[in-house]
Amino acid sequence: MKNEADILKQLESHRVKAPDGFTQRVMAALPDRPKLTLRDRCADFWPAHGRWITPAFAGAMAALLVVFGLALFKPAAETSQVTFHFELHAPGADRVELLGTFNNWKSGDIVLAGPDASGHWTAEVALPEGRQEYIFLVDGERWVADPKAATQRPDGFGRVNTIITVYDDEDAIHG
Amino acid sequence: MMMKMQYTVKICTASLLLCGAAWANPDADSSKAWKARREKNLKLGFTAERVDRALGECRKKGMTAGETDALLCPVYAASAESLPTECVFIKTEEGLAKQVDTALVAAAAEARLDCLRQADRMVSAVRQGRGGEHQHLVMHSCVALESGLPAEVLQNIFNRPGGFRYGRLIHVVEAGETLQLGGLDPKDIQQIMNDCLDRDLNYGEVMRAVDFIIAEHRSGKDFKTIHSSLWVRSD
Repeated sequence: MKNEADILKQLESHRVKAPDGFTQRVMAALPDRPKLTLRDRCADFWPAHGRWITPAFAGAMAALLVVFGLALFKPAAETSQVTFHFELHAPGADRVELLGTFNNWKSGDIVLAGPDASGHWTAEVALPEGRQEYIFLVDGERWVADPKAATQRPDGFGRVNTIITVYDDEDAIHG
Repeated sequence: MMMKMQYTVKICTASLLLCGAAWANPDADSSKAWKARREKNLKLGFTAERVDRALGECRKKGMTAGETDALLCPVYAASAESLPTECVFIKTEEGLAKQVDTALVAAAAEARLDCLRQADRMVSAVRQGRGGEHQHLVMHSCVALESGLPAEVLQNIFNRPGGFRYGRLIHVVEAGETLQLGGLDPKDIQQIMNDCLDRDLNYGEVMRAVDFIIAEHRSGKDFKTIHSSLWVRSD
């Protein structure tokens, strides 16, 4: 305890007042402060030894990815569906099916209702906008192109398919 | 001890017999081959329902997995050449659904692949990209060529000065095919296609014009008369 008090006393006795003009002399002896250009200041901003390259490059790449991602992103286009009325006059038939590009030529997928009193078979099918090919299958063995349709096309197998172009009439010219 | 040995021998014998049966069973082997074909087609992006239906039809016809592979060869070729496989696969599906002879199905798929190649060459000559819209334009051009629309008509449309807009081109190619099937002259078809592009018409507008032209053509009017009355309402 006594030792500690002695040490404090010794320390206090070391606080010698600086001679007059000491600070001015020291400051005058120091060299002039160099004037730094903007480039020098910026150089000091980055960490030395190229350690900044990796995080800066990663940041730039992330920014690029975001920009490209936003540029490439397109909301799924809404394909408008149009209900199309199919009809075939087949009074003696037991079953009429509809196969086409819209159902990937799947048999048994769309079966027409009928026959009505006049022998007509009908189906209402929602089709996507665009060009479609189809054919009727009567009683599972007879392939019949739509006799009412305007456009027909050889199917490459010796028969003809009917072509329809489905479009929303509201988009079309009105006059 | 003796009982235990007898039991082990019985188990081993049964296992050997089962393995031998499986090895010798051609059905097991063929089932593996069919599974491999299924995987191969699924990898091309077709739905399991479509692949199973197509392969089911082939099996119903009594075709082997190898024969089915040969039938689907144009589909695989299209995929290898980065052409739209859907276009060829749906033709094969159509043939299988219509129960036509396998040779006819193969020939129709091969013919479609040829048209697809020609269409791709034509579009690629003016546009290098093979993105989604490129594939759509190639598919539509392929079907138009198959329907008999002369390649020169398509080439002239693709090479016409001005912007190359995939969406608008797809519409007019489709219109061109319909007009071709409607019996119009290729020269007149090209004029209509150019008219539609000049007017920057949307799909509905193009198709309404096509419907009008075909109806007038069927009624016996000549092209000059049809054309002179066609744009009156919109101009």
